[in-house]
Amino acid sequence: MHMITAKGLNVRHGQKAILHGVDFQARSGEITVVAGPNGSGKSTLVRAISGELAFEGSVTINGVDASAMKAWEMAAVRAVLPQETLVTFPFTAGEVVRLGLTTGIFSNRAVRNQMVEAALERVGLAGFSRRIVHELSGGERQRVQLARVLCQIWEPVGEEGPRWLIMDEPVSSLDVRHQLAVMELARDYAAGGGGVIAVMHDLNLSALYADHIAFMKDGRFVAEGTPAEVVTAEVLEAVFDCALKPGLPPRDGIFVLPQSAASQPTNLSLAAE
Amino acid sequence: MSGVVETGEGSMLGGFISREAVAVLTLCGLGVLLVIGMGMSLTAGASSASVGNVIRYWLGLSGSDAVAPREILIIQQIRLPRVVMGALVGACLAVSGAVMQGIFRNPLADPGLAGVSAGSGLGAATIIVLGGAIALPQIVTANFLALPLAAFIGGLLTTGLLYQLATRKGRTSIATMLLAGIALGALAQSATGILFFMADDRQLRDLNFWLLGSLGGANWLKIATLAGVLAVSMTVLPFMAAGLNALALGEAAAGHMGVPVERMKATAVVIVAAMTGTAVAVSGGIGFVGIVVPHILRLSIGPDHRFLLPGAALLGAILLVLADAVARTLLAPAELPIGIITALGGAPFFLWILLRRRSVLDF
Repeated sequence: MHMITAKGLNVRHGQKAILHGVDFQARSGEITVVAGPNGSGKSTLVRAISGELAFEGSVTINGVDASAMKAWEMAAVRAVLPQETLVTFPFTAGEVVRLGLTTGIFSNRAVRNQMVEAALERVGLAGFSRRIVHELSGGERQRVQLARVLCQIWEPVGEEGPRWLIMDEPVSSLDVRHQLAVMELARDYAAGGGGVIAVMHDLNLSALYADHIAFMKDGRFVAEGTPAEVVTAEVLEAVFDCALKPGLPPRDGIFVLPQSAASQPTNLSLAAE
Repeated sequence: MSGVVETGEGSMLGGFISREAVAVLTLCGLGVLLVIGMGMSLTAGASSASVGNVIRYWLGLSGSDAVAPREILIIQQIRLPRVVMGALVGACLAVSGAVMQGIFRNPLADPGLAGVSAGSGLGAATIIVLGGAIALPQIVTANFLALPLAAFIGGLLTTGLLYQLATRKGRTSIATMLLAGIALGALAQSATGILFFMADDRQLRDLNFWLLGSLGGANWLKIATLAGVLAVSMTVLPFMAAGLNALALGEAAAGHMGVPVERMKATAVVIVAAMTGTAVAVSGGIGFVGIVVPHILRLSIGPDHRFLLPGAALLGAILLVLADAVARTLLAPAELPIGIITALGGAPFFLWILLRRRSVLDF
């Protein structure tokens, strides 16, 4: 099994420490969700692992020291979907998606065009390739970016080992149908042998799709494990400082209902068993 | 949506082909237009000379008796260098604008507006006024490389400084960039003003010559320098086109896609400084070409730098050749500085862009 691992990760912003010597690992073939309150350091962690931020400590991807990898070597094994992407010039959706092939190995023009169309179709945007990105809705734009990211690491497993899909709040701007579709896509990618790391705010989706959830607070990990292990009232309350009551949905899986202040339960320890 | 990926079914023809085809056709059309424009510009001028006669003479189709020596002199020694230099200066300025807009991710970046031309001008002025005192005695008159080199260094310093000032955490604020450009430009101009104050009469004449912006001093040495810089730039730039496209999604995203962002930015800054510096050194401050040309192209062939950069070279050349023809004929036999013509056309165009997309200044 291959992994992305981070050891003793320290990231500072000026004088302020954002990550305090964090250890983290994600396994291929799984969806690893990083959750936690705003400002807990989730995005910073993901950006450090992506090679975007300077950090102290070490990050390895499939056993290779990330700091020794060149930009294009990193690009061949992992792709990153940011929270939001601003496109400066009036590019079409197809042109943006094709940027994912910038450093790719697919030199054949017909193959590249086919991949672009396939990626757009994969995110439910078939026929959008000639639309100007600026004119699309927020959710459509986010899915165009997802298609671009998919193009970059199309096959979940390459010659170098599994590839990694790293997403920072991939579903925040999407309606519920597309949220599910994106999570299904992530699950397919993991099932194909690739690895998925996703920063998530939606605890229900996290519990439903994650193989492994890591909760962050104030730049540290406070709990991690399978959804059944960590999506508990105790953990959630400790992480988010508010009352949350996990329960079991009709069939299987775990879901979480936010509680309004008026309906604060008297018994906070009511956990899903 | 999950499940088997469906590919094919005419997707090879879907999407890009037509926009790319439009771009390729447009580039060919611009090439033809450039040749026509240069030919027309050769015929325009204060004194009469038959271009046809001279061309037949060049091609050996007619003997030297069929063409007046004066005609050969006017076309070959005066108009041709001027037209060729105009085309090269236009190409350099337009490509500089397109590259700057690419690295600043900002459709309003322009060597003139952002103070790069002023920085180049300061470099050139320094050589004209102080060159004799600090370096080789005949540096101003004899050394045709010193002026472009000084202008290049001035442009390089300004562009680098501008980037440092306007970019925070990989994001360039459009307002900050324009304002920093104004400040840098004003600073460079005031320093140039001090040099004016120090200059003697002959130096003043040299300074005034390029300050107004003119192609009047065209000669083959300047053309060779410009052509060299343009040739090197246009050889390097195609390798950067895909990276500049990726940069439109932001520096972080470009880095994620494997683009060596820092190296590319550094290369781009050097190229912009070299092209703007050389153009300013031979022709003074000719404004707005760098902003108008890429904008027109993005409206017609789209923002893909693989086509935008060669397109900018061609359209920039065409526009400047035509502007020069207008400058020479409008008040003939008197001649308007070409910088006035480009500003007359370019400034309203710039305002139109601003009004059309006010929102670009909001972030």
